[in-house]
Amino acid sequence: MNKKIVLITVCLSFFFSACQKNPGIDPAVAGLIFQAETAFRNGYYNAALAITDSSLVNSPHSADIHFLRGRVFTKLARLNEAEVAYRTVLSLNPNYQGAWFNMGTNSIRQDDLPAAIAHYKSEMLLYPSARTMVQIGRAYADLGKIDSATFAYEDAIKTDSNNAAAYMRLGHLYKDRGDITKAIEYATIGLDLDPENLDYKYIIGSLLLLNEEPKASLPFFRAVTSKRPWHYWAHHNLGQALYRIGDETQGQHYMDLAKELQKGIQEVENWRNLANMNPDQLMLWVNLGNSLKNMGRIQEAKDAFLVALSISPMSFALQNNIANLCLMDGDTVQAINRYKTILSFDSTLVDIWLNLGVVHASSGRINDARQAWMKGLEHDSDNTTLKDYLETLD
Amino acid sequence: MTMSLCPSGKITVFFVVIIFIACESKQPASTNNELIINFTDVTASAGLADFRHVTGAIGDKWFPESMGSGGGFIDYNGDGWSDILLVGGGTWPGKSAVGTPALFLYHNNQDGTFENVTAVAGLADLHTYGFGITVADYDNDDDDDFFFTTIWQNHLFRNDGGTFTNVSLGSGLEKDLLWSTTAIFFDADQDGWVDLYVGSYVDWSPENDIWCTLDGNTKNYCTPELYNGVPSRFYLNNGDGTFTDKTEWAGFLPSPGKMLGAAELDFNNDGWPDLAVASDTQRDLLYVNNGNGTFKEIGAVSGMAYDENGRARAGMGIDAGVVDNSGKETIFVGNFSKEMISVFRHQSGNFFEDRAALSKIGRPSLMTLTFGLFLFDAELDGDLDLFTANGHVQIGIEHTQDGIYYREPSHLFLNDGDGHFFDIVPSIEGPLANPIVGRGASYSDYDKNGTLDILVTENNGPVHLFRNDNNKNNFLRVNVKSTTGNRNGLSTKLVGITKNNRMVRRVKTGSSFMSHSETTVTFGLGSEETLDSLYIYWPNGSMERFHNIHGGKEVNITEGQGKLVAQ
Repeated sequence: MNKKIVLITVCLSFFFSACQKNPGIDPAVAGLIFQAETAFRNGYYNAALAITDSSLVNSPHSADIHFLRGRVFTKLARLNEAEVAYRTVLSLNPNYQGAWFNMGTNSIRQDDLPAAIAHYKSEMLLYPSARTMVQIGRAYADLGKIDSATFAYEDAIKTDSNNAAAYMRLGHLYKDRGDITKAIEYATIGLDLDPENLDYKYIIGSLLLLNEEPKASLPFFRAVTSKRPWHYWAHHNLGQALYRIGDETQGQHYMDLAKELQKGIQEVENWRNLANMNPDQLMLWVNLGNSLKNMGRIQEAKDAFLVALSISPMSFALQNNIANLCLMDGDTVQAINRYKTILSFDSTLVDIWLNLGVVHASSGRINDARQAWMKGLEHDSDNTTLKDYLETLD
Repeated sequence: MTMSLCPSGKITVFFVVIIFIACESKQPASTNNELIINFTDVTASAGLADFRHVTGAIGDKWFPESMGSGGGFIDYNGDGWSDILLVGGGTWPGKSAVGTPALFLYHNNQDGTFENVTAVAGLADLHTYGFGITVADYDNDDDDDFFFTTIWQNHLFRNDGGTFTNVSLGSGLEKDLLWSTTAIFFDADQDGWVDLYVGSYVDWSPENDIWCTLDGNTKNYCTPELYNGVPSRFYLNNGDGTFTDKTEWAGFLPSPGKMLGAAELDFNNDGWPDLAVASDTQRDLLYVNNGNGTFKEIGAVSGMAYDENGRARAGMGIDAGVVDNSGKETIFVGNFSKEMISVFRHQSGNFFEDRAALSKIGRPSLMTLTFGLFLFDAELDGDLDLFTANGHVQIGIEHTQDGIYYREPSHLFLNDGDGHFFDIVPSIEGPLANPIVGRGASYSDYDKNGTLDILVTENNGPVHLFRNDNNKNNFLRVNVKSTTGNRNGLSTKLVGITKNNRMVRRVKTGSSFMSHSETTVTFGLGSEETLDSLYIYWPNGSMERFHNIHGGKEVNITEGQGKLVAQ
């Protein structure tokens, strides 16, 4: 939770710095933008769009509003609309930070790599940064232009010697060139800069395995599998490493686990591809959310359900799913808000009262819990679960 | 990774997936001026220009249309010169008129030209939808028979002195009406009669065809993820002209299907043939022979089934051979675009190590879609090089994916002698650099000048015969004939030793994609005049040794006779 708070603080400061570029902005509009940003951050995408619509009535030339709309559309995988929004941003303020960058990233999602490079380069002209250089390198690498990619990563490192991603990606290029030693060297620097990054740990483990150092790779894979029990790739490679050091039993165990996880991964990837290709199809996002949830990928599942909810905003089932996921993720505030939203539309939903009470009870708010369960009983006086729960409070 | 004001943990998850599936492309052109590689496209002058593979496509974009087909070399009349057998493709019943024959046989005139003898050889009347061929003397009567895979019934053709008889009915091979792809003859149980492994692809029919698209509007060819795989089958040769389906008994079930390539090898050196199988969007398979003609599948455990992230690739063509000083066999598998060619070298026990990057093959092969793939000594310098025929399955792919093309140049990865390769094609002109829609690929010394020539088939297009003009190095070519085992001597291992080199070769069918290369073994001697020693390890476990064999010729060795007979 602490990390989340820190990130939100960073977000807010960034947001206000963007606003500060328009000192003439109406404070009322600034307030609306803040509301829209908050709604966006909390996953209320329709609300965020509605608020920005309202804001545009009074401030149609606010680049900030269009920028936020671009981000919302991106989140909803409506990339064409995002592009329109970012183009509008740039027509209003050609120097707007992040607009070209985000367009570049959307182009990568659409597999239009030359466009991505062009967009990133436009961003670089305005705001040179290691982060953008890394993205340029990534696009070049995907295009097969290895020398350009290498140059971009090296340039990123020159710009910011603490950019872990640049080291990791440069290491990857060396790996593909067959220079595993150099690849490990760069990846190790990357991990040193971002020591808790599980993806980096996985990459180093894989490089060590490739370098015929299975024993050395074990702690890296174990770090990933312990935190991400759904991580098929780490399980597979852990199994391979164990086999290679002679531990066939454990090796087979992890290979079997990987085999099971593989099905889930394939399902997720299938639904994700379909959803991104058809972003207006409700059930694709629902299925994606369900497949992610089944794998224990809570945050990603929540993201998928939130997109689904933006398509079907009156779906109580989706709201309830999201609330439950918030709860699983430890975000009780969001969970309570979601339950209350549902009950504001239909207060007869006993299961929601039940869930709301559980959240309150688990947070130590006994009276709130009692109140919620009592409300539930008003609509289903024979509900034994509610009665049992109430008894525990007595 | 959108520049969100609120970065989330999801971003990094995305990163790890991308970082290993993306990146890399063609290696910069070599600047090694000393190396002269010269192939000449002699298709027209050889008399093969009239051939066209037919897909039967009339706009429905049915999946099989994008996949075929193969072809290769066969010595149908036993004159010692390689003839050419090509799969014509097919048309769809009820959709278009019966087209060209399913097979085309070209007789080698021994002067660099070929003559169409399809009808004379008795092959003109078959009309089906064909894919691949594999050649062997299944009845041990000293001639080349062949097996032909199709989308419906497969066909076994018996060679009766230069004409063929379709003996499918009653052979035991005609029962399964499945989409078959690559087949391979090998003597799994070493009873002296070659057995047959027939690859099956997916459960497709016009009735269950799925609508696929690249642009969201127009139909295009599907990829196999959308269809259920069909397990391949294995048939034991009964020694009386018939075969028995022993798929389950031999350990080939269950299997994920979607098989496109198979290569025979003996990675554990136990003298029993093992089998490596390339599967399309499924894990690749490694069948280790239990020493009795039954198999255990160990692909996943061995480390050769997946890429470095445990992801199944789209395996197409496959081959295996000893390419470096380790003496261990390495498996090569051609994959889809944005999936580098797989390179797995045997490590120890049942384990293989991923050497795609270390071999320098990975990155240059990343953007191409490889179908045909085989190891051969292109410049007769004593090591095995790698040729691949490339071409995409999606017409117009260049309009939707940058850096990927429907028509693609071939790869010719030259070996430095220790398993490090570089693709010579970007630095040379000539036929290998011409973009084509490559599918099958095979080799033979059709003109008997000692160098190995290349035959490549195109989907819905011509065949190409690339004459190898790199004949400055010396060579020795060896034909073996087994008397105690299968007549072709399949699974015989030959080890040739010169002053500075040790070359390991196997006699085998299969490999590549739906195609058949000659079974003659070629030793590149470089500047050496003689092969100092030749060890022949016959399938029955016996070994024969020959010394000081002068190069520049082709010799025949019959098991147990202890002598070389020059052709």
